[in-house]
Amino acid sequence: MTLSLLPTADDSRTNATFEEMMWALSRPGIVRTLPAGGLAAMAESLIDRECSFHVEDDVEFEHALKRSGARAVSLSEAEYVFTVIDTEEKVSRHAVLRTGTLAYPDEAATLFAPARFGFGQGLRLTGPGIKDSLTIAVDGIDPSFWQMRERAIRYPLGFDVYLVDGDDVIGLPRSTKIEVL
Amino acid sequence: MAYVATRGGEHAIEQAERLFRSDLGTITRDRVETVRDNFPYLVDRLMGEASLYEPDLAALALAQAGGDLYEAVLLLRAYRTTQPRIAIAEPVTQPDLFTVRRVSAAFKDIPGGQILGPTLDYSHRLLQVHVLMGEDYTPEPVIPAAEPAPATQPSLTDWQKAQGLIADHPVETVSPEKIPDLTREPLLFPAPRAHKLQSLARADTGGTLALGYSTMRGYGDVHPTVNELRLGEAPVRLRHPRGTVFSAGRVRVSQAEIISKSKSLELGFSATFGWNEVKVIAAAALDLASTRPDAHPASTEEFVLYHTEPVESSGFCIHFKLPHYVTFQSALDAIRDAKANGNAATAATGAKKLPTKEQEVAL
Amino acid sequence: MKLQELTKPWAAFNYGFLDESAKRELRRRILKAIAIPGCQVPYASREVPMARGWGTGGLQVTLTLLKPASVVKVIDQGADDSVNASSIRKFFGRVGGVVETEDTGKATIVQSRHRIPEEKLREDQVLVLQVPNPEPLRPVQPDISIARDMHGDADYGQLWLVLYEQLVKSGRIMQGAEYPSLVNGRYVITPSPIPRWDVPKLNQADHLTILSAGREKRLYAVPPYTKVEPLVFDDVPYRVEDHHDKTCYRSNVTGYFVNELPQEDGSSAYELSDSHFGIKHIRKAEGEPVEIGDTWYKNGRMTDDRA
Repeated sequence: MTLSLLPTADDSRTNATFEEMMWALSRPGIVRTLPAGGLAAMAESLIDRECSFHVEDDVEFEHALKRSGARAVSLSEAEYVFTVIDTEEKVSRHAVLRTGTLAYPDEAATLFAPARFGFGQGLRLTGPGIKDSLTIAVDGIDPSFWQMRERAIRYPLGFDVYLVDGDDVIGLPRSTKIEVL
Repeated sequence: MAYVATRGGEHAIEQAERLFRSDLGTITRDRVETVRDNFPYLVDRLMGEASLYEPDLAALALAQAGGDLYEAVLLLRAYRTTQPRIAIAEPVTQPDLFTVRRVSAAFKDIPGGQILGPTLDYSHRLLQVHVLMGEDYTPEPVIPAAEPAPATQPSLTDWQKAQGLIADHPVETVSPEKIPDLTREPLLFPAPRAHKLQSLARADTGGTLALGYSTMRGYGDVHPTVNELRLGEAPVRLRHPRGTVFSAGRVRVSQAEIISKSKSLELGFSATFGWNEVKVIAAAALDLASTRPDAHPASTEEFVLYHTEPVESSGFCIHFKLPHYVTFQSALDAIRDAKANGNAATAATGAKKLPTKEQEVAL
Repeated sequence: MKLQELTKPWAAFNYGFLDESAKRELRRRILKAIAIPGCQVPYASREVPMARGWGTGGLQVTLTLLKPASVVKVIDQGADDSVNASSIRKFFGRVGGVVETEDTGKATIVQSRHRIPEEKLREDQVLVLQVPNPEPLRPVQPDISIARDMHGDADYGQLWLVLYEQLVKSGRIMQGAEYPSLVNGRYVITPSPIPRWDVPKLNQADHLTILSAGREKRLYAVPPYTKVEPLVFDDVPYRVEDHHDKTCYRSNVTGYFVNELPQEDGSSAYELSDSHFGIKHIRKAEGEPVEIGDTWYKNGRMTDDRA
């Protein structure tokens, strides 16, 4: 019987990327580092023809995601949203993100947005995955995003966020309470 | 150091498996081919339940499982699940089917005609015991019809729809990648029609029959008539990336339409891989019964689809052989404690009976 | 798009058995399960080469996480050598080339049926629990669609009623294993058929727990540092099994969950349910350099210094 005991390079990359994403969401606020590939690697490990996605203002990336077989749809329909939220105007567009239903709260969007970690806006996080509380600093996210997020989340309804700084990732599930400092 | 024999389990399961396999002996290509050629209906039933059309693989699964159908379904399903989906075939309509058998109980004759095709329906079920005494049982030669039946047949429901007897539900155009597929997404309720039909197509023949029979017998107000039953071969047509549609071969399929004659005419439908009449008739009856707003508990969509899943139902049934001593221990603890307290309380108050329902509520 | 782009060179089976599209689906579902602690996330649940009901849910999660560097411990009823645990562990070796271990402390992934090890799991460890029935509401509502609506409305009144009835009829709560528990103050879960002894180990734990029901096609998660509260009445405290004073006849250790072994003379002997934990104690007593990890229970009592 031929069983493959060794993963291919693709297997290893998507597996390792997912592992970091899993821990990032399990421990909100703690920076996890992807092996390589940043956003593209995250997309590759999750998205295929069973999914829908939306890319704001990045035709090349959108084209790359389409090759996975995933459907490009509007912001309000997408399961996976790759976007930039560095201005108030851009943030306000995202009020339409999917937040799931009470029967299926998992049918909600996951948002990926570039940010820079370690300086900028201070945020105090509490909730599942966080021992007591955790304070982080992120830059490149318009401050209005945090209010928009709070308004959008009617727990368990809500969307989940990955902030991405190169290969560094912070996960902010809807269960995390964020206090803007 | 008795405790350290932690590999005992491993040795035991390995030897138990060897025992099973050595009873069956060597599986050879010849053996697989013999199974495939001798038991086409068994292979068909298996391919339907496994939702994988590949007679060689199905025969291999049967040979490997020694004919244990549930094992064989699991083997095939577990193989199927590892295969990439590389294309989605074009839809097959009834007039596309190369039909070898087609009967309707609703009319004496139908456009295109009743075609009995290969069937044992009217045979006398006599076991040919003389074969065991060395006398071969050779079937009588078939006398070809003066005029062969056409390879394809029109749809009876098209006629019924044209007559206004059956409502013509608008056909929803769904792009291939959006066709719901429960091998890739969970079954949720109310189930999309595609999930329901797919689930019935993969359902356990015996389980489908049991529930279907219960609705036919009277649990539910469906009075079924076979509107049309077909056995045939469906062309598998694929769209080449360049856009041309080509045929990749044919698969044997069965399909049944069950029509209800209570109140208005409504159709139930089922189709599956392979020739398996019992299953599609029972499944089409269940499709019809479960569509009713007042379906009997045993024919609601959720009840039917969950409980006719061959891999899930058989697996769960046999899992009760696994040790459950932790859960048992946990229950034992509570029972002993309750008993001890109960005895103490009884001794203290002299009361012998449990509180009545009213007293319980009052507590 | 070309057909070739969607395919790859043929191999009988993928690394970790599941193909990449199955793994991607599981990854998506696992992330949502983590984001909404305790929420049952439906998934397609592929067939795997084991019968449904035999750990196929846990298997799919572990296979998704698997890499050659993974160190996997598999237990059933607390024992590494239980027949089905052996079979599952062997499968991980066969399709994943992983390192197998019996030592809770050395594992990166612990897949378990019906028990949580006695030694505390760390922040970098994942506990995968096999779940036969993911629906805590099943006893009061067998219809899964209605139960789902009840979860949506956090409508758990009937569960409380069942516990109350037990209390009234039997003088105590009779729920044995799979004790319904509230996660993050929102969703009631069944923690899988672990004994009541193990449920507090999920509360504010350091490790990530993923619970997966393959046959029922639902998975849910308890992230680290998440509140898990067994459903109890304010004036009737939660009671674990009375095992605090039982001594293992093999290892001579007292104060952990035990298996009761009926004896011919009518009495009972006890052995540690966590088999390797027992082995470590025996080895240590014999002078071997064995490292026994910190335990949740100390002197037979849960040490719950967390909120």
